[in-house]
Amino acid sequence: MSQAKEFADETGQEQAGAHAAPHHHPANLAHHFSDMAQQKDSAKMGMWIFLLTEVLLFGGLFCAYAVYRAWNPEIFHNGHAFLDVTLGTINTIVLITSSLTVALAIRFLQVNKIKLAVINLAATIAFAGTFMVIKYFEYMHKIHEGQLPGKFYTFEGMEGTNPHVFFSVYFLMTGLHGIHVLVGIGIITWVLIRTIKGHFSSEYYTPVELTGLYWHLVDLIWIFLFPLFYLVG
Amino acid sequence: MANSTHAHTHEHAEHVLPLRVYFGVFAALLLLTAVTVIIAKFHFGAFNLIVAMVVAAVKATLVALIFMHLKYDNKVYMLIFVTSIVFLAIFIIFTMSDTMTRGNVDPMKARPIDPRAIIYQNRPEGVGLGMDTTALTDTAATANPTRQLGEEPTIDTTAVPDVRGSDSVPVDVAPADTTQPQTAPDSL
Amino acid sequence: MAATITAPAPNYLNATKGWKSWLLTLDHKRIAILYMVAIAVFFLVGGVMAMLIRLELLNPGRDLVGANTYNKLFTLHGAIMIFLFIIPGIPAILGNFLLPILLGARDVAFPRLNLASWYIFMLGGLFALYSIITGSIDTGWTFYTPYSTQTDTSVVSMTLGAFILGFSSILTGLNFIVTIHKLRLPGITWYRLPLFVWSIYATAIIQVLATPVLGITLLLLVVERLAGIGIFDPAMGGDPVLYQHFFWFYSHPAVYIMILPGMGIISELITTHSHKKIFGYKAVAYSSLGIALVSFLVWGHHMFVSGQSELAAMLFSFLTFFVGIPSGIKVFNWVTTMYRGSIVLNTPMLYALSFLFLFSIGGFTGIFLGALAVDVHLHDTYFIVAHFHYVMMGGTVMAFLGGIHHWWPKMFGKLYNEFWAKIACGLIFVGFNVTFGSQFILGSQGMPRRYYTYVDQYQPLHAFSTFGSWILGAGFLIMAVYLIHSLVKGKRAGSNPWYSLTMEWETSSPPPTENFIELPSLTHGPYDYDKVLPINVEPDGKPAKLKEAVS
Repeated sequence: MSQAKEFADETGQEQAGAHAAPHHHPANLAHHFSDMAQQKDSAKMGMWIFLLTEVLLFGGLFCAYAVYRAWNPEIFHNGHAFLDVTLGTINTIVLITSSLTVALAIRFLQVNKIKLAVINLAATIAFAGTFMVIKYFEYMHKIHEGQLPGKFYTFEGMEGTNPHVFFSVYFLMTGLHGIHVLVGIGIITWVLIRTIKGHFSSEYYTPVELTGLYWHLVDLIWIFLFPLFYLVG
Repeated sequence: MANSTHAHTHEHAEHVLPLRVYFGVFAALLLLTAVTVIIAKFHFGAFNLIVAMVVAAVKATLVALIFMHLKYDNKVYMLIFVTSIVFLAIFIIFTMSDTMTRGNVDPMKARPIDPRAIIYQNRPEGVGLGMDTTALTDTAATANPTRQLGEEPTIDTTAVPDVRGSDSVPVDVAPADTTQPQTAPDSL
Repeated sequence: MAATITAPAPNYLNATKGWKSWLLTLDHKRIAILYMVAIAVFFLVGGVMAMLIRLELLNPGRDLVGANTYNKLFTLHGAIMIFLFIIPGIPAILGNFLLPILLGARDVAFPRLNLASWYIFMLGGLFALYSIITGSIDTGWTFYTPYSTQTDTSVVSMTLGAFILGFSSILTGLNFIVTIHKLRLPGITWYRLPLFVWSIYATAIIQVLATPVLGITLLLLVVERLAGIGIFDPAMGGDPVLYQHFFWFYSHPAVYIMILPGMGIISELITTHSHKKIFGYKAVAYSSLGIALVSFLVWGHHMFVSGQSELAAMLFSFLTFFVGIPSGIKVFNWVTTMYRGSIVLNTPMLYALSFLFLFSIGGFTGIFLGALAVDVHLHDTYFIVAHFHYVMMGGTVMAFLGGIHHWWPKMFGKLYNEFWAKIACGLIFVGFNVTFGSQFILGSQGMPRRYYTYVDQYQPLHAFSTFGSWILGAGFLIMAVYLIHSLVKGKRAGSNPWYSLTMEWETSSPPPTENFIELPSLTHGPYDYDKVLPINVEPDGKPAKLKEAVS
């Protein structure tokens, strides 16, 4: 507590400057932050905490997967045979590539290459769209076969206790992931438009960076979903 | 600590990674994807799961450290991310400490669901058992422990939902309570 | 010491006018008031339901409502009190109001997100209202499967409501964590933070870690009901005990979301009204984080008789006892803080003392219930009901009321009638013990919880309990009257009527929109009562010192 007085002097001045001085006030700085770095750090930390909540949201489904897989390994073994590994692999590559392009977009913004950033963001949206299209065909095939969750399950060609549970878990996990992809497409489109309008530069690109973090998490979750459903029988 | 908020004022702008780092990570991710797909074609039993999860974890670490800049950013973000993994692990491990050890001390007594229980009578349309419960007879007590599902989308209400799988400890079917008559499942 | 402006300068309440300036405000203090109004309404509704439940239980059989209505009443009482009152209560009202001020910040890190949290909260409340209108819900607030997948009441809208409320809770927690990390005035180090901030921090950590799991649980429940996915419903091959794991992974830590902010308030009340340095600052601060951590390891103690495995039951029972350690540290340190302090028995201090007494009882009975064998006997009896009401109401609500009385002069710049406040506090304390103390006995004698009727031998204690609920109700009624009276005709409060050293009392009452006109002096820590004499700037502008006030 003895440092209190020392602090009081220097910080008093500093903070007074932050409060009362309008001379240095960038357009993107909210009034309650003292500088851009503080604002950016706060935004990034908030985003990371949001990602933490996302991990635990999906975590519930991963827990359900683990429990039912441990109880009924045979339906997971039999069920994975009905998933198309080729399509799954293509989707994995598509999503990894989209992760690269969004990372590159941020990197190009850091060095003020706006055009390249725009191209990479557009590519990310294209890859995300490709992922959803492939997912759509996979889903349509499942729906056609009656390989559906719970009481909608009408498929007859699968052995094992409660085979519908496999498809419940499959649709829940990939479905929640798909919703996140759709939301991601929306957000990336928004930052793309703002980038084209010239809102971002090496000085200020926090929204793009946060969007990138979100998109990488969507990729991370797929990195686990792919082997758990398509590969490990 | 006090000035931690101002410590990284211009740090972020500085670490612009060279392009080859991004493409290197991308190549590694593609390679690992190929590895995990190829290994899955061979059957090593439980080993498959372990390999697939280790490969996935390595891929995830690469994405998190490089693409998400965790390696270069404030270590608080790393702490937040690791915390989420740790608490997810707690959730799954503690839950499975129950689900994997049920019946280890006292054998589990599975009983058939009694479709005539009041809660099954005023269920909403289309939810639950999907069958006419009035037609049931007392033979419900001699239920088949393994649910057969596949003939039609409806569920055999007389069956015991054996969620434990076939290789679990013996499941004691039907009313094991000797004070109740074996043929009266509605006394459940 | 910063002398504050006391002439009627514009404050956050009258700086701008009109309903739009309130509904679109980004000021954390106004958002706190918005929460306060909404939560007060929910508390009133939940409280009326509690009174109806007790009235119905006055005699065995039907007194007032039928059995089905009774089931809906206790479900709604639980759901409203937990999701709409006690979980958001302290963080959203007092946390929102005080946190930036205590950090010397102008606002929380994300003011728009803060306002959005309130709207999301109200949306969740609307869903709950919709559920009540369209047939209500009778599952108990826990929504246990398989009953919740079978009953024909409005489960889906209520669970979606709770799901949405979870979002509000997550966003508030996220906002607070970032605010505490990034917006501290330079000079306010972690160990110079008031203990209320530490407890809000620990609470926020639980909010962001646990609430997402509730979200996915309720979504799974909704899908289970609509599509029969077979995760939770045994009729579809699911496992209802798994639902309980999912539910309590959130809802046990949520119990600490409820109590931790209350503990933070108590730290402030006891130091301020004893005018003494907190005993063991770091121990109290870290015990908050300790409680937050342990809270994630004990959820299975809700499931000892649910068919959980023996191994898990032993594990969870063992770990449950660890909760007692940080809680004990706190209680010991509070009591030691009071030792040889200049205790002034203001209303907030009376609530703090009530808290110590009631929370200790609630905590100790929790230790009984954590013991496996004892729990088999006491599970689902009135003993449980009494236990968690001693912790939740005797603990959190007492702390909340203490906090409201403590910071009322700061929030509104008005003093309330101290005499009637003490009367109300006494009535609430006595009424509470009559209502719930008797339920410990009922429970240990075997009266099961959630039952509509009972055998005749329990009637005297039930009547006693119902009688207590009337005393409790009278206490709250008096409180409502004098608090409203204080808003209209209360005496103007000085900047620091309790002679406290924490930073919120250095600004005027009520504070200006930007929180501080002059920057806080930072010449002393929040509990340096051994070094500094607190000053109160009276409404007439005269500063008064603690010494004169005590003598």
